[in-house]
Amino acid sequence: MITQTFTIESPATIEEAITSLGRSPDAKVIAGGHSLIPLMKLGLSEPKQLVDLRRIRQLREIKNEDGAIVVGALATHRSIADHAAIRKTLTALAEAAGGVGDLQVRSRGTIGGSLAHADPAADEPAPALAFDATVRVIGPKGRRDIPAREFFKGPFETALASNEIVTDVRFAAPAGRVGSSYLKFAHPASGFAIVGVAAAIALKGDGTIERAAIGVTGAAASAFRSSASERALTGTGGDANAIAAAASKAADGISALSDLAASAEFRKHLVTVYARRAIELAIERARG
Amino acid sequence: MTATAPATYIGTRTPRKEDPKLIRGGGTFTDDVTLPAMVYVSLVRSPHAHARIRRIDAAAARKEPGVVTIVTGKDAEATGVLPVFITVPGLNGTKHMPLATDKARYAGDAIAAVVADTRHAAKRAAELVTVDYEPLPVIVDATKALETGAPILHEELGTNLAFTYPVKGGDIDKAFRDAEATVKLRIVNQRLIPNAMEPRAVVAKFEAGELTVWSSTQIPHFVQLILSLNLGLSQNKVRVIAPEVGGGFGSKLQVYAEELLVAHLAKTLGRPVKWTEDRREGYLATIHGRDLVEEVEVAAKRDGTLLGVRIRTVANMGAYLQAFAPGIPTILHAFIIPGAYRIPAFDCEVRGAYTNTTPVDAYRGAGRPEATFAIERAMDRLADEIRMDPAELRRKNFVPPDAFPFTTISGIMYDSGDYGPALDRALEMADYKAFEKRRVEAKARGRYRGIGLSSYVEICGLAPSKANSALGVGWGGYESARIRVHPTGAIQVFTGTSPHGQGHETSWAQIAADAIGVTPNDIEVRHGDTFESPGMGVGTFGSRSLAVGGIAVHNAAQKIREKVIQIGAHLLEASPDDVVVQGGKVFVKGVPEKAKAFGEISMAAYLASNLPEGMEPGLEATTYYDPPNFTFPFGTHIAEVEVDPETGSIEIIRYSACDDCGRQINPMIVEGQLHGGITQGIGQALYEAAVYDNNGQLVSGSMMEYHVPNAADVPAFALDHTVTLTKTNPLGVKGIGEAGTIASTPAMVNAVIDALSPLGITHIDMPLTAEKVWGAIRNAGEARR
Amino acid sequence: MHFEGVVEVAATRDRVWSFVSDPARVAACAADVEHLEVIDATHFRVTVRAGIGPIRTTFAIDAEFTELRAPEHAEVRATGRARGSAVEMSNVVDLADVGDGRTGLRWRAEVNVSGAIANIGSRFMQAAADKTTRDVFACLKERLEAP
Repeated sequence: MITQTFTIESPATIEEAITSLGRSPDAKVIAGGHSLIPLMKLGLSEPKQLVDLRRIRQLREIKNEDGAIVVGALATHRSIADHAAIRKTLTALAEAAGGVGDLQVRSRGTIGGSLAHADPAADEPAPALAFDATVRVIGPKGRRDIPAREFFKGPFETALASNEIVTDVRFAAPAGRVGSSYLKFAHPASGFAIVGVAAAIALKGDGTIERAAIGVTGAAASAFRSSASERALTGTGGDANAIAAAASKAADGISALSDLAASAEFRKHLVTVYARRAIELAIERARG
Repeated sequence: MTATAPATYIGTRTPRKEDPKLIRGGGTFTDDVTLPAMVYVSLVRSPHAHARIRRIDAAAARKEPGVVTIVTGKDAEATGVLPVFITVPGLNGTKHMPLATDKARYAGDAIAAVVADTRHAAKRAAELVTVDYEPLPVIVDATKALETGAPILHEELGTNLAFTYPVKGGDIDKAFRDAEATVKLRIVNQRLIPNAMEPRAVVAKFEAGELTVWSSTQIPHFVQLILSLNLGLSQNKVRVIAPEVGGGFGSKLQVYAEELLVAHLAKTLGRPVKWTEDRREGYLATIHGRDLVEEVEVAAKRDGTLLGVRIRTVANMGAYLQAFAPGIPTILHAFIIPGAYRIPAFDCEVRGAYTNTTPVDAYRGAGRPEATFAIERAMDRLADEIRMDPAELRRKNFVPPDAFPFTTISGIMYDSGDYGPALDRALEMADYKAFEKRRVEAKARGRYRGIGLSSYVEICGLAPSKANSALGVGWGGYESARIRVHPTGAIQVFTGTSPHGQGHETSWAQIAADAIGVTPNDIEVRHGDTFESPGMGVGTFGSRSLAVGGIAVHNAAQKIREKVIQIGAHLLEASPDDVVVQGGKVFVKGVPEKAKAFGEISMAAYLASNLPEGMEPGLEATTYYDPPNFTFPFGTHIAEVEVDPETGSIEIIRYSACDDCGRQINPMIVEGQLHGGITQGIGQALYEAAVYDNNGQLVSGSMMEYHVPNAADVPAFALDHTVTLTKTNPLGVKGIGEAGTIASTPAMVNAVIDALSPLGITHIDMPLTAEKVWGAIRNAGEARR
Repeated sequence: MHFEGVVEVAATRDRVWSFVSDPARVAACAADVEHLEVIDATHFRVTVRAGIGPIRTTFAIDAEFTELRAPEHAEVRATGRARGSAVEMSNVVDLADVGDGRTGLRWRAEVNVSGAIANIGSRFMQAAADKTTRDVFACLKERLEAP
């Protein structure tokens, strides 16, 4: 039960939304509500004003922009998981979106909400990082582009200012022989990622690995790119040994989360296991 | 007795009469009850696990718009004490008031009740109540609570020891002297949260001197009795209604603080009052289950013959005793530990300890899952120790079929049993013979496959009243049924049972239909309302409803049948011995075309002008049935699992069960009970644990942390049955509501341990989470280096 | 829950001491202060909003310096209330002169949370604890090292 009083506004345009948000430091954006409303019901979040973005229909669109796929901030996880072009060329994103919560949650929750809320255990930050996505935002001072790698600052903390709104997330078209995957070890109760790994692989003409990007979520204070694994994999033939060697580095240097669900040690171990499995699958898909 | 009707409906998969309404959302649950001028209660609960209550400041709360009144422990003493229905010898009982006055003894202990005209206002105001607490040292571990120097919860007792309960038989010292093989293991049977789908709720109204209470309860009659006694109301002026109740599993087998409080408030305010818990509150305020630590030792001969079992148990009672708590780890656990086996010597001692945690009481199986887990894990350890096949070890020690009725070494008498065929059938369904091949094949894929058995006997059909009295249970164990036939032939069965998902409206209709010679659709079964029920009902718990309540229905229906025969014979001018009752008619054997319809018989009973000499008018019967014994269903469950050593994940490959609950009234309902029961038992084995930190905080406080298993977590179960009737009751029925839960937990754990035994792993404590399994594998690998 | 941290500040020990023994200045660094009431030299009450990201609860805290050994050691005990929750904290601050006009500050805190936050917030608590520690030290350094 939400016992605190609050107002809710439903602006029709992005400009109106920015104005509403700017009226008070206690104003909070709500989209699908599946992160915010549970927090409000539990008394863990007490915004006095909610700015509901759902009337701004253009934020829902998923479109092609000069070969890049631009996913509107209000695109639901379900629409992303079902989108043919995303499934084909950004498979890891479709798989991450398709594994969020359950069908009811996926039909309401949005990618904008997931990235902006930055729950350390959320799924979509991992492929956002692996695909080097650009988070496009708008605020009273205008628009700006934030690379995914600079977006996630800490648990529930992003580079987004409190008076800014995510409008869309831009994924550059992966070129060449590419494949990606997202695999997670889910919390049996909540379904959140205890560990989730997105691997995006691009192969050269000779079959060696030109580009490897490994995005990891659930394991640390915020989602991260595993550069050590990426360096170890790039340039290799992508054989079992190379994959194993690269995956074994996937948790290097991280300060893993430890909670009721899993210890830091188990998380670090799972990162290496899921990195290996995600890389294997991504390479297999890249090889076609 | 005259000719018996062929049993047409007993034994059939009659579709449940309850379901069409429930599936369409048509049932009325307690929270659906809305009355004019109703007010709402929100409880202020202690965040501290152990603290003195210095001062309660409700000034700010009272100013909140909509607040009607705020009541603390001192104001609510008129509610009286919460009852405990079971006494064991030497019990150190506690005085448990609905609202704490001097101390909060667990996080969630209710301190004050805020009443307001909306649910929101009540909750908002409750948040404004300020309580000055003086935190005290906290104890959550039951074993440590019994050590000198532990913080004491109930100062007047001077100890946290609630009771010491021994059960012994034979010469245990000789057993261990003669032993050629012994095994020892320490078992943690972890605390669980019942998670009935419907949270608890209570509504009460007091009008013209009559109190009406709706409550999500398994025992409306006991609630009525206690409300009457505690609130000083004549029992005929107290009506308790259990409307649709969405699951209980023992968590609603209580008289709760909220029931007393809400009734008391309705009486003092003169307005209807409602309280509904939300899930998070329920995790703290509704009883928890299990929470035992057991040290088990088994002595045996090399050839597997059991010589003796010794077991020492510490049971966590939580902060207070709830209604049936003293009987769960004692009566329902200690006596049944010998299980399916002939054991010459037995030595069990159970100690109960108070700790700063939510009170613990009955949860599906209530003592028997703990007992079965202990003996079935021990049997597997023994099998491993003497290198004997676990199935053959069990078979060797089974109580043989010719030994029944069989008095166990613990002193209870099993009614009937034939354990071998159930084991055989389960082994067949599980394709046990070919398992080793499957283990090897899985290993080649880098996976560990295991198979695990559990052969159980459980004690249910609670209870013979004399046994209750001897065991310290403060009430009889009978059940009642009243059958009322209206002049036009409409039939109502009023049962003292109180179903909350078990399908009694269907099963009792089947039983009565067969006796009276009509169809189940001709019979309305009503339950849960003390106003219209027989004088007293006991309720639904402990897999008792069919073996006790169903027999009461049967016996009452036989009385109706007898009178129908007498009236019918009289109207047909025939001898009662020549008359048949069948298909809604009464006719002379061989002359079906000259029949009297059931409606003609019932009308004749009430017209009363043409009845047999000396016969009273009317067609109605009431029966109180007191079972001569408990009943003892049994069976074998077999689980097959595969472990991924990289992650510790467990996949359930196959699950087979052969159960024997005597005669099955409705096989579809039996299957449903097994589906749910097995799933709950798997939940304990793999997923569930109520976790407290050292500060007495329940850190697994919601369904985000606490995994209640769902359909996706379990495979399709292969179920079969044998039928070994019991002579204890005329229908030969036993009970099946809890058997699935009792059997499945040890079968699952045995399977996982079997999978990991090549690594030298012999035990992992439940729940078998991925991390625990992975950790055990990793440690085993290191140990072998 | 345990918070701990060490930070070196480019300021003399006396300056650092006068900061950490002043409730107003410490509270301003620790959280979103809604209200501060100084009862006496060692006793103060403060209402703060603490948390991480959108997860933010208001706490009414009652705090007392139980030990003040200028300029090296201070202990503060605090009890607080939030909606449906209670918090108990004991803080220990040790200051060491590390030369060059610099001070080493060591802070240890034990925090016990009871009630609603403990039931459902355990996932967030460690994250909040780590962030708070970082933020407090950064703020402290910034204010003490400011010209």
